Amino acid sequence: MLLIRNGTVLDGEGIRKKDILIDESGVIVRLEDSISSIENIEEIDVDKFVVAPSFVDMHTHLRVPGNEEAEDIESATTAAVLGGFTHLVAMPNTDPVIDSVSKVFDLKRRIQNSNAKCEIIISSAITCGRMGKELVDFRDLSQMGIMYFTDDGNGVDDPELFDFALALAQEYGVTVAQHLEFKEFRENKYFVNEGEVSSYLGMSGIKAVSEEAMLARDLAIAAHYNVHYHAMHVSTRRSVELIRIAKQAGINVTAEVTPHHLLLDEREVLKLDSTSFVNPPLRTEEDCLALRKGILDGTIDAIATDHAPHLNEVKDQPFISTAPGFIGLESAFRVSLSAICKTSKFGDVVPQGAESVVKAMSLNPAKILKISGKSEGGLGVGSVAEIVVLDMNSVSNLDASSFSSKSRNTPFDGMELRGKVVHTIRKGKLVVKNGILQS
Amino acid sequence: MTEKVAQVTARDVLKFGDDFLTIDEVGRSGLEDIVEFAESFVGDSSKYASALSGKIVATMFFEGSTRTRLSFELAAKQLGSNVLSFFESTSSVKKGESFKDTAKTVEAFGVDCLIVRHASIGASHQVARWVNIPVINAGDGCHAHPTQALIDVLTIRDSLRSRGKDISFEGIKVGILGDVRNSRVARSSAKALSLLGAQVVGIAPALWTPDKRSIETLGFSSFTSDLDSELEGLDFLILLRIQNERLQNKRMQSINEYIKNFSMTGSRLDRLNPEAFIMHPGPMNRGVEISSQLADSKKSLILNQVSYGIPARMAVLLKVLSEVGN
Ligand SMILES: [Zn+2]
Repeated sequence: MLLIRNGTVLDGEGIRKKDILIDESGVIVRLEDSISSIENIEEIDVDKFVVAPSFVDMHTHLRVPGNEEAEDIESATTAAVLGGFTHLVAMPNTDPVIDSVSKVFDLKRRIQNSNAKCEIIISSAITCGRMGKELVDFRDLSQMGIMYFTDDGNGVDDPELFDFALALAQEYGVTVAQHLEFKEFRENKYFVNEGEVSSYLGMSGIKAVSEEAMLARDLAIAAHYNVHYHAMHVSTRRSVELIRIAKQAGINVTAEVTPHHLLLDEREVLKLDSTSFVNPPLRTEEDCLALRKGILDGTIDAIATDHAPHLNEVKDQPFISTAPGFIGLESAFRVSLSAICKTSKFGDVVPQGAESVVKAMSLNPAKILKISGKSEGGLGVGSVAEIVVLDMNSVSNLDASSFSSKSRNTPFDGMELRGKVVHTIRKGKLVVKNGILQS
Repeated sequence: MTEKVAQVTARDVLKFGDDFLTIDEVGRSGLEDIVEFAESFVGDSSKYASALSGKIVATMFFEGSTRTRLSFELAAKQLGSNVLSFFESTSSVKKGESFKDTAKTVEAFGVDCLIVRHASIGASHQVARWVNIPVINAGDGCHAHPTQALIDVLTIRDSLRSRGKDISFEGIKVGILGDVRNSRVARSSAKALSLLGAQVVGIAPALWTPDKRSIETLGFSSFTSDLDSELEGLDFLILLRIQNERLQNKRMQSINEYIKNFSMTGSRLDRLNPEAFIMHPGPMNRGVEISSQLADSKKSLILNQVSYGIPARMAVLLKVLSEVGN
């Protein structure tokens, strides 16, 4: 049992000061203004901290199977709980690709036999091998419980094939999530935004329109179905605008943004450092501002890490052949909060800003993924205690050397960031206490 | 200069132990300092014949360019340095060994300076971060080729001086013609010439033009795809080598399309300002970007550029590897 004292509860049901009592089975049994101490029960005082539903990452590259040197189940899930996450969606672009019942079965078994610290939600590719040629077996996979389909790393270029994918998604009630990029726009390009900075450096970059054109096409197709379509890691202001319009038009679309696209822009690339290359690339300052606004006004539903671990030897290659992407689980909250609060320049947290980050990192993804026990949202009596306790005010420099991820590819090392994940509670148990993993 | 790219600010004059990676980093004073130093020994460099004796200069070329490599190696040898040549085409870089490993390995041979040529942008910046010895950029993708810019500055100053003109670049108009978008020579030379006061006009097919917002930062005063209307007003015209693989793709349909509008051949020669001179970093594609007649004419400074290659590189080597140039 666990008693959480004096926390400011922020769960979409209004901000309020409450004490929370969690019972032996991990369920919240009391939520009251003040609960008096009970003998032999662990108590944590979280005065000055925010108590929120734990985070859910819609976009983690687990690297299992196939690249366990860069990350494995234990290291990824440890990084996740340290970052305040209790659930993550594992991307299917592994080696081999997760695109069949047997591959899902193998991964499930590996997760069961692992020392996973959080829930792993398995997703499947849309097309076999993510090759964009033939669709996976939506029927069998959905019957096995797979609800999330994406060719992440690649977009589905062929419009007819994508139309068929949405028809099947409608039939089986599953979500199709698109990595928005036409492959023709990527050929022989650096993972930088095509624009002023890339041109200055002589790099051919990836145009914003590569994302926007696919998003517009997808929305046009989705309008013909009663289907949930999810736009992954949107990175441009016009993408935000397209999603806003589509939502107004009644299309069942949700969207995510990464923490790094909220905080950084294309000028990072001027450092000519390997930790500036990511796909989609870091865009312009105007894009960055529009993405923050999208989080604040709810046009963008979720913040998802796109946690993409790479070994140093991959990052220590020439930029034209570098592997794009950053690790993100352990920095996501701090980076996102810093970005959203940037308007106030590390002054007081805008309450709306803090609430938007919590919504985008926990409530909304839980709802989108229909996570049982979590999708209902609030920290109500009777719900399983999956909680994160957050310090919204402390400011400190990020130290990547302390990360639990096996990889170190982050552009945020040493950066001054706001916020801190203090405790993570999974199924009623403190798995992270004062920022330290509990055994 | 836009605020965005203005972050890349000039560091200082080139000094002992420094890297030489871009023109932007040395800025106007650094550029003038190197150029004047090179001019101080052009024609007779015998007093520096053993300035680098006992040193080892390594050329690390991951992209074929015999003339640039030979020019650097000759420059090093004329200063008494030993030379180590390392050539590896990027495709053959061994699996498992990273680019960093390769750079660290060459450094561990005990060399004093690395001269790096690579098809990937920023490669010499990467190497400079990994090793503790000076790194000289001999060309990184479409980004920078700073010693070529020194050569162009030296060539233009020589041309002005030999005609009894002021060697200041104020009031001089230079055209840079070709695939500017994909040219490291264009980037470095435009920057150097504009820093010294020249007006630099980019001339290129529309799809070979850099992003509009970057033009000024790159050192260009304007861009045009109308070569014919520029010919009369230019004092110097730098032609870029046209890469064959760029002549038939989505951006350019055929070689004839380029020749028709952008080649310095035929009647265009007559329209060129009689006082103007032509330059080319080499190697030339005769009949594509330049006619043989023009290349071999008195209007061509191409051989002067070649002859300035060695003093330009000697000046850089002396600056970063010894105290004599400082
Ligand atoms: Zn993706």
